[in-house]
Amino acid sequence: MCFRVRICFLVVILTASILPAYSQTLSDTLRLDDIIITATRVPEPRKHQPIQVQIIDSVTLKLSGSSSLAQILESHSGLFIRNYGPSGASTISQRGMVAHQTQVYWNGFNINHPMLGLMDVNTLSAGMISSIEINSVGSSAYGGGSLGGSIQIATNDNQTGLDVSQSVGSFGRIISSGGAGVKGDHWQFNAQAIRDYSENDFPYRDYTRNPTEERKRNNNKVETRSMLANGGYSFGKSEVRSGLWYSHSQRGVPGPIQSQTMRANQEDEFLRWHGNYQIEFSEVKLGGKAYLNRQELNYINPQDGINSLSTNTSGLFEIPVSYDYSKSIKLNGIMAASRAWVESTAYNDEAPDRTHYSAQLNPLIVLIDRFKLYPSVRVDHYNDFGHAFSYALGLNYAVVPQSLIWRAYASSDFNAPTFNDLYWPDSGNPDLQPEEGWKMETGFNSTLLQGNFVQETDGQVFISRLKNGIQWIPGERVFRPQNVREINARGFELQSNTAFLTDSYTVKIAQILSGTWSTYGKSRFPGDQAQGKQLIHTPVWQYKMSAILDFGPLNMMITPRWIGTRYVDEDNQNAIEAYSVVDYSLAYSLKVVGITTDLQWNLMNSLNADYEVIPYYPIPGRNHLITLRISI
Amino acid sequence: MKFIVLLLPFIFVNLVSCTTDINDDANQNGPVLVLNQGIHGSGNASITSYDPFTGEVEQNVFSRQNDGRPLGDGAQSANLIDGSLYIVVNNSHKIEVVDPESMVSSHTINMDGELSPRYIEKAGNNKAYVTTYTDSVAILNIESGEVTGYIDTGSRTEGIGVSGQRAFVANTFYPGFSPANYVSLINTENDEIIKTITLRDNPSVVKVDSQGRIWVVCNGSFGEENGAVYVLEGEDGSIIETIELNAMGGNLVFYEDDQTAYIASGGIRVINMNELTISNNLVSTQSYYSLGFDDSENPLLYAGDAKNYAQAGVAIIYDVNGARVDSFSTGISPGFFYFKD
Repeated sequence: MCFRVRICFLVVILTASILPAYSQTLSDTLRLDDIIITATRVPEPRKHQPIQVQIIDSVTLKLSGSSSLAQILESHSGLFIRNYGPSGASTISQRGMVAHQTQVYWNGFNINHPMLGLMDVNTLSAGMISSIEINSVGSSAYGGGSLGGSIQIATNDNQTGLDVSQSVGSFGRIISSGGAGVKGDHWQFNAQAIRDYSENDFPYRDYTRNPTEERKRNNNKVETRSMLANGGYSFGKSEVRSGLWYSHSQRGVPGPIQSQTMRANQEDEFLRWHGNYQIEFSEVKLGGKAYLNRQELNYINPQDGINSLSTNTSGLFEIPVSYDYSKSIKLNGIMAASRAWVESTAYNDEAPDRTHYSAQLNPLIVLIDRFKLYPSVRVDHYNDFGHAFSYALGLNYAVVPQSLIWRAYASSDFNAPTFNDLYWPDSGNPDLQPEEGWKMETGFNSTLLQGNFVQETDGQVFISRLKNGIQWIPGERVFRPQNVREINARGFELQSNTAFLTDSYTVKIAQILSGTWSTYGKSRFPGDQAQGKQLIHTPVWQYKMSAILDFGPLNMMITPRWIGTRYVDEDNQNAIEAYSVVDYSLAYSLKVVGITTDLQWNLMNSLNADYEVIPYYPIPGRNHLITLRISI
Repeated sequence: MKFIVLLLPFIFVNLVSCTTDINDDANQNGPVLVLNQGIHGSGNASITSYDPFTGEVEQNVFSRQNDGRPLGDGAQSANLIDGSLYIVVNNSHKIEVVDPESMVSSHTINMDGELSPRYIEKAGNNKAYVTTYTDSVAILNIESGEVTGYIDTGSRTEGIGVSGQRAFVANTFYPGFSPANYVSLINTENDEIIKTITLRDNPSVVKVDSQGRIWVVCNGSFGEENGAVYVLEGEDGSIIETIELNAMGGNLVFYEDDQTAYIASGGIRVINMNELTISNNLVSTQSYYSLGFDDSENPLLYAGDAKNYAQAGVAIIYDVNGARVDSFSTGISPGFFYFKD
């Protein structure tokens, strides 16, 4: 079964090809209980997990009109996305942590870049993604670098029938996509391709000029071509699944408005393959998973004479085993081995590689029907810096079954140094130790179901601490990475999902309010004024909402968000203003003789807010996207 | 920006190796301006004003005096030319021309986006040379603010000093950032290169003393402690002396009344300008990002501590004997001191 989100029955995605896509809004909400989450490596319903899990479903994804994973997360998740503009990088800040403390997984396989240790979520095409799960699980589930948490993305692997769409929008945006899928009793196959192009030549106010000028963003175009193919076959109690994902992205890199790099450009290209096999023997499930990845990341800036080319290659094989020892104890274990290596002009003639072995145990202990324990332990061994241990304990207690859940989770975490940290010429530090950390969180989930009304409220408070964090600090001539950073984060996340159903319409409202106080810990050097100050580019307050109205064939979504002020220097002397953005989506769906035609209009940044997420990287003002989609 | 993260170490290398400078021509008492480079790429360069008599400190002087307009990214240097203060903002590809008293901008010289202006020196009547951190020196018409031409030097130009009709330009890196090791000697009358003078890796700071001698600081090879100060004849660039630093080179300032030079190199070290020897007695053991010297009646040495280049820095004030006198907070990455009349 799928690595990440399995839907036992009433599978929402499967019904998407049969019913008009937008009629699922309430059923999505109602069925959240049924969604099986494997974020903790223990397959259990979302509400029974010991951690808070947010799911962005296929309906929201379709209505959002987003180009990239970054845009989706920016609008619909509790994460803060450090957005350097439409063609720039977008990195994740989860629960006040730095970007390399959030790991991104595709079908359970880590896709963070090994040189950087982080994921640029602007490089993943939104059209390929069918659902997103955001959780705060620690290192003992998937490995290091999860002090913030992890993001599990699922690609479109259950499509049947034929689907083509064409979008045109502001600033030269053109999206073309097509997909097809077939399915038999024991097998299925589908494939999809997308081309997403945008000039991104939007106007902006250049307030750095004297006098202020209205200018157009140049060298800002993005073209992404992605292809995805999935297949599966089941026989008896065995199942084989495989997926292939190719993406090529070419983009200009315009830089900040006050120091534009008019000829810089970047190329991201990857080919990823995974194969999963699983067989059941009464109480035992045994599997084998393989993953191969080859990724090129090239940055060329003739202006500065930079021609930085890199290719990273990685492979992983893992054996998951689960055993229902008794009604009270379910054992889950995984052994894995992987190897990754990088060839880069940045590393001169060196081609560093890393071999990594891990073993973990993630049992579930049901003390009583209402009380579940989630202990876990994991050991990792890296050839280049040794061992790391991590462990966690979670619990979930149904105070009022089906209505009120209390949960708690504590974990120790680690994070391996990146290739750049270790091997950057003349600066890399081979003596680095893994980053260490711990986190604790507790929260509740309450569900109120009355007639046609559903209200789910989910709250979580957390505290986490990063020790021996790796930060590049100045030496006599160069910056070098050192284990000096300490970050203390605490805060809360409050999620609310409301749904109301009548015979003629459905309303679904999702809201997220978060407060994150993330501060620098110990002094890193004499005179460090940052101690106790909020991390740069990390807002304390965020509020996001999406409201979907499903009125038969007509669907509307409004998505406002408000992001608080962020500091741009470590001692909090300078801040960038808060901003609010409102997006709209309107879609009409018509089904005639088995052919469904959807017409969708997206209005982004409807209030034409003039804002920046990162100083000097302008964001487009009001813009539109019109999509025609035909499904058979 | 996309790949900037991957390039961070690379940028840091250049950030740290960015040499800073000081205008030590002023010979009178007056307030001190500190040019703060800001966080590289973040556009938060600023100017701090410090009054040594009252101890009064004012931050963001440029922005305050110019309707909140930000100074830009990477305030590198400043020079007084024909009564106006030219503030060179390298990563914003511009030069802000301000009244040195009010700090109100009279106009902005926007340079080609491929250029990263570093230092400006007057090089004749109505003419200035601007080093660009590309393989050329820009020729600026002072009156019109237009770039009228370029002098191709073959590698990235950094520090500049003008003595009579001779300009000495440090060539610090080749495109692609392999180290360059020479100074271009330019005839300012016809803007032609007379010759190149091979020194050591990464020449960065160029200073002219009151005797017309040219002082060139070479940072030295990467990973080696072989920085050096070369003292050249002002007319033909012949080498008078080589002062070995046995450390990385850094900022250089003159206290001409005492024939003493201070250099930031493994701490603040003292050079005897008569004997052309360097002392092992340190004014300070701390490595500083910038130095400035106020050669007024009460001469003082200013040192900029940039900390980790991501928060407000500190300026430390020493007397000429190395006793710490005072300190004040600056903006981010204090990289240049200018002493107002």
